[in-house]
Amino acid sequence: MTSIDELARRAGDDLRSWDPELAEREPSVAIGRIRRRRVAARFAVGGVAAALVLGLGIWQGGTHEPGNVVTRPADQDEPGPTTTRDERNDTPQPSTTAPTESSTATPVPAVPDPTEPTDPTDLAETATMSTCTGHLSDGRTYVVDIPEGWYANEAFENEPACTHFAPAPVEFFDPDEIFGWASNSDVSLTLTGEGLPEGVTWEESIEPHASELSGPIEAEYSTIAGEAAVREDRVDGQTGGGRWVRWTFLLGGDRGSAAAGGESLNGTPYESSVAALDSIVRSIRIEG
Amino acid sequence: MTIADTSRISLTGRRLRSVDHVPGTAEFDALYRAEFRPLVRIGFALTGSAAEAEEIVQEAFLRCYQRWGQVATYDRPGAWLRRVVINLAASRGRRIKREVHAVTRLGARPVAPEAAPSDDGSFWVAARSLPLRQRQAVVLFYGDDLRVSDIATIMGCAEGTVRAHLHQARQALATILEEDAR
Repeated sequence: MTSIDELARRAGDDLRSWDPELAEREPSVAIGRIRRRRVAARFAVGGVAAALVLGLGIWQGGTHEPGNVVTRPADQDEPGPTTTRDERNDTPQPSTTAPTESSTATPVPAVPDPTEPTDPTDLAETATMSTCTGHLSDGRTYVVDIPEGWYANEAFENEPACTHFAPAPVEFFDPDEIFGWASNSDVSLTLTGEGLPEGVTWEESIEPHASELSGPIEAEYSTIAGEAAVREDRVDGQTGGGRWVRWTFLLGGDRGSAAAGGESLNGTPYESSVAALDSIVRSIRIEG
Repeated sequence: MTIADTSRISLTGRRLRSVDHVPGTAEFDALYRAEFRPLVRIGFALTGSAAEAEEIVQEAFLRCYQRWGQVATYDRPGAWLRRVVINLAASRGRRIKREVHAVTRLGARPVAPEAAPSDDGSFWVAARSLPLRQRQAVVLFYGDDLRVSDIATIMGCAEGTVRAHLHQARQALATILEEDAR
């Protein structure tokens, strides 16, 4: 009987021996052709998109209760958990919508004006308005306080809930060619799902080190959720000296890190992103 | 920005040349000739459409060309291209779903996604029904014959994660293909 591995290897051999019928072109000619077609496609897509927006606007105009603003991740096909706000009420209200199975993140209500950056010290002091919940590999959950005016992501594709944060609803869009899904998040949190490498102590594992791409300016040691953690202020050598801050910590059995940098799609000042990052990381606690 | 910056190190590997050195088009042409067809095969295994696969690979090479001054300094530009291709293939699946949904909501007749131009065998059809990351791991491991360490670099995850994806994928594929055989 053929095992699934044998079957797969045979299918792989077949695929690699397949010669796709491609038009032979010189690379430079092909690139020129692709460029021209992409420009043309952008014009066409722009027209279709405008028609769709207009059509959807008309269609949605008759279905919404007046006064409610509904937000959801831009790439979700179906409306997910929504945040509703009564525009007649000046005070933003917390979300009252029940989360779905795939999401435990709770968006915070108001969308701040990106042209009026929040004072970072205010952010750090008032970061208790809402929370989101994420999952650890041991089955437990962690909870994070979301800074006021900031949002946490819902689960999307392979991006778990409560791992991306921004002062605007977190959206994922066409994947970045280097780093996977692109998002507008200003603070990212990653849990590796793995413990420490064998023979390495936690203290050794968080020892900051310089690489050719990124060197630490200074490191502060503290504890997060009762475990040793380090906060590194770094300079990215690859992007011409851009600054970023990274936390490394142990959460349950997972090694984790969280970072914020100076490049923001939301126009968030670097200091505000770092203040939010520090606030988020310091609020992490394990439940269950 | 962000922690993703750290993954740059593993993807790009050691820099072989000075950042100031911008290689000529001969190196790009050589990369294009060496990688275009293997990448189309990967795209085909992921999407089931040769035409879509070629579009995706062309787009990947265009991005490569536009960033050639940087990509050429990587010791493995082929790994970079593979990452672009698998991401574009994933994006394409979601885009088709979104477009069909939007058109349906407007009351128009949805445009059916392009069918595969030929039957590529039951294995790759079954592989395309796997969850995204399992599908990518299977295509890169069996379809592109890469090592787990290379796949981890391309997918931006740990080697153990790739092995877990492959293990789960094999179990799922066994079930799917067994049911199909009945």
